[in-house]
Amino acid sequence: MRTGAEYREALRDGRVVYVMGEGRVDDVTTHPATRAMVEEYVAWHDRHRDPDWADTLLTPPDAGGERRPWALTVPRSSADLIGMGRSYAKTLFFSAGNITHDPAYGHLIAMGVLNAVTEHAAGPEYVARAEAYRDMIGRTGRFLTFSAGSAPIGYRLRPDPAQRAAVKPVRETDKGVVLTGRVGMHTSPCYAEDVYVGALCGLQIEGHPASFVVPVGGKGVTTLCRKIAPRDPNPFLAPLSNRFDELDGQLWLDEVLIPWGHVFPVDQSPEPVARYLTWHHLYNWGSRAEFTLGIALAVTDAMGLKENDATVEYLIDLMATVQTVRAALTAAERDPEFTAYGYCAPNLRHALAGGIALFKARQQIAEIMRIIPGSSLVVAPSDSDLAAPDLSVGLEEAFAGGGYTATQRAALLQLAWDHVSSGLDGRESAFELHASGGMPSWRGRLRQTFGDYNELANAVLKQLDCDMPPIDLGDIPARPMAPRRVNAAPPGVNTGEKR
Amino acid sequence: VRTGADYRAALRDGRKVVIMGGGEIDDVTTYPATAAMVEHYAAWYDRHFDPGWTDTLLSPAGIPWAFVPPRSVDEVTGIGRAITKTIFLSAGNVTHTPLYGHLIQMGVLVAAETRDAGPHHAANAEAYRQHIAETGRFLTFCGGAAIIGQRLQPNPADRVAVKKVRETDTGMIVRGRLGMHTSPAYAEDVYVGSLTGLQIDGHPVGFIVPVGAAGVMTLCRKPAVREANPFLAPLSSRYDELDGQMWLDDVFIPWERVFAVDPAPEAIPRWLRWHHLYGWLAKAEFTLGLALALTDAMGLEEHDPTIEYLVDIIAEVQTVRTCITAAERDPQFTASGYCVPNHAHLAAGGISLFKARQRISEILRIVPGSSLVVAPSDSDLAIPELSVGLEESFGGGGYTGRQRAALLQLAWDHVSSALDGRESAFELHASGGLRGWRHWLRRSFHDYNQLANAVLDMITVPMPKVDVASIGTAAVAARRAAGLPSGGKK
Repeated sequence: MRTGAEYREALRDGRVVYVMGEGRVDDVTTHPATRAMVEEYVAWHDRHRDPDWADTLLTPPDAGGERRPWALTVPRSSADLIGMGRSYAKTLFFSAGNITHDPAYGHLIAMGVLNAVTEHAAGPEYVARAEAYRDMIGRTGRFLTFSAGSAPIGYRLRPDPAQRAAVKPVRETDKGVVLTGRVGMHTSPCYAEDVYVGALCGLQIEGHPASFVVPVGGKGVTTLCRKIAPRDPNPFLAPLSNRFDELDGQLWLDEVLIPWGHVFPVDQSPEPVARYLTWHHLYNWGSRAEFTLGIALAVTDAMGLKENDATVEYLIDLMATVQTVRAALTAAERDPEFTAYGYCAPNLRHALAGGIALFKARQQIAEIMRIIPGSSLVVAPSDSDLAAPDLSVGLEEAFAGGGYTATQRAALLQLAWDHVSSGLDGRESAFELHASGGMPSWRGRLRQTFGDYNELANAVLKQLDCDMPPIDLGDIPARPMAPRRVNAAPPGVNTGEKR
Repeated sequence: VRTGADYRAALRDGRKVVIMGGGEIDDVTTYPATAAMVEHYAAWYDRHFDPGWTDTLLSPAGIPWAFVPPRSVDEVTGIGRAITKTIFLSAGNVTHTPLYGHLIQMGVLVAAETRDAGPHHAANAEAYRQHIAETGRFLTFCGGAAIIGQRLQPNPADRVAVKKVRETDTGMIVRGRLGMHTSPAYAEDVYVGSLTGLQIDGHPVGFIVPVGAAGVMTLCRKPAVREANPFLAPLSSRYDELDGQMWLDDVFIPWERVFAVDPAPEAIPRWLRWHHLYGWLAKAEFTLGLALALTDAMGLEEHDPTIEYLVDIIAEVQTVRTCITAAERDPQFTASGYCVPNHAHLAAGGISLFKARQRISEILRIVPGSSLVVAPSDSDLAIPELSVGLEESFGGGGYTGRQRAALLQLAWDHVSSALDGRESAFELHASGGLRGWRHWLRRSFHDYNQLANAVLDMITVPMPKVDVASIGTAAVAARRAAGLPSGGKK
């Protein structure tokens, strides 16, 4: 694992980055809109050299005494999954679940690409190509992020269906394929080094849907990040928003050469690539829920509500959700499956059940967090107010007591506010409702992976005395996922009629 | 394990059983309100001799999973598989079986070990467990709470279920009336828990009372109202396990059947809530099975809203399966090495299903459409002047009118019958209801302080160390006390 300094240096690769509302960013490591996140990723790398973190982030010593990062491990057993999962849980909690993409996630993307190429079965040379890329990620820790490859809205509304693809090949050469186009939402591109662009981009190579990896710093690549989550510049008021805004973005490609070694034939659906990502998403959502529970517990203490029955009932509501997700992750790892390539993978059925439960509970969780502190949450002061001579005594009287100074209690309340009532919170919700397909996709995946339709249907018929026709419901799981919605141009636009 | 015939014969032990609305019955094996359930239990025993069930019901060593004291993940998983396969057969309605009885006694054994009031208590508990394992004797469970009339006694000292009349060298003689428990008419022994308030040498005790013993009378609730025609009530006519009360009139309990036990709420039900969750899962799975079968029978496989309803049920079923998988593969161990499904995972699954239960039933009422309401019986289909019209109305698409009607009646009996209502009312009380399960999660959730203090790392201000561990160690809420009604105060 490279050092944080080496990672920071790697980002100075000539990349062209814009942040909406901020303009061109010359150096993501120093620009105010991006540098805090760069430092979070720097810390992520350096943590692997911290002895206190060794047992969490590194595998047990092998025969030669070597310990490898769980983040870059290829899982071959349930024990490997448990080790990897533990490292995700501990690191994701650090950002309250706001930093969803890191090099560990990138390695899971690379394993998913290998899985997708294997399942597509275009030939062993392509599998070897995907394994070589995964191996490079595993050896170097290079930071890969993921785009499904869909086009931005303007492309999707073009009159000519042939022009609606995100990416078009300009020409092919001995070395690779030259691409031009614009790729829709994905996350952390300005902090990553490579972007995997999935087959939804519309690229076809030799009759196969194709995906590819493009370097963020590559010639002809422009990254456009979304506007930053609005926040107060005072970290006392925005302890999370100032640090954990990972910036989603789009990617523009202007005649970018993609070497053949980074072109992968896969099925059109991104699902095989997401084989491990669903698991990581659930860890991330779980860490966010755990962080909420952690604040709720701390606030319960700070507000003197430990003996308040109604508060404890709210806490149990949060616990029930957190524990359901923990159970889902435990089951997924201890009752695993194996990919076509032979790697151990978390059992999707269990992970999906946990994800659906959390999708349903998420807004209620945030609401409970807003309820527990009472209206003190709304009127809590900042550190500068507490330091104002004409206010300090009064604010100390108003917010101190019970073992807490006013500054301490206010700091905790502001942390809660920033977690569940901030622009960053709103971004997280909007992002997660789309990033992994949202609730419809999770339900569709569960429909496809649930195993025993016919067994259950025919088992209940045994209660009946009359002969019954055998039931075959194999079509229900076999139905494809709901197609991505099609954006139709407003009336008249593509027909030449006046609106 | 004994045969079903042996079990049936064992029930003719002189037991005194009264059924509310039916009076005293002479023989539970032949009485119409109880004979079907006796046969269900007889089949439970005989299934252990069926080669088709060997891999499900017997351990690799050939021992019935029903009577294995679990010491490993594999053993817990094996027992769990035996539970889920057998409990599905009654659509989750038969919640008490000899396997459940063995789990009761496992809990008693560990509760006695934990209380540690003397080695003879644990030794007696283990001896009785072995007796169950060797004979297949059917034990059921009663918490020991008093009935409402006793709880309203003017003198607080009289508000207990059972009083000790006297002690002898060989045992104690007790008298009283015990509140709700399940399947006493079909069981041979009842474990009566420490809610009776009985104490021996300063320790709370539970005891075992034989259903057929002198001085014991079992009063079963009224049967769930049902059609006599099994075509209309394929479940109700077979799976009404009959909850009951028990009256004890100077009943002798030998000391080896009296156990000083840990009074903690997790003690005796250590394995039982795992079984409860399997029971609720079986009901949900059966509902899903019916919904799937009806989706086929009503030609709705391509109907998107129906598929979405199915996914709603699938998500609930899978969540419980997931929680049970986690509980079994991430278990806990007692001090003496018994393997226990992880309570935190189980509690999450139980709470999830408590919330979803009514919605699941509602979906099954929705999926078939209004044909569910107007489906005919087999006798209607046989009436000459109706048969052609009913066949036209209900036959087609690969199903005869009779087949489709049978399936619709099965669904109705599952989610719109008095048996369904009984199951709901029973489960809202039997294991403490949602309130009990939430409290149980509160006690088994383990990292209160770790989470609370971890979030403080985000704050640069030095913060007081948070200690909220008392939330997790809170005593179980006291059972609600019954106050005198208005009329009683006059």
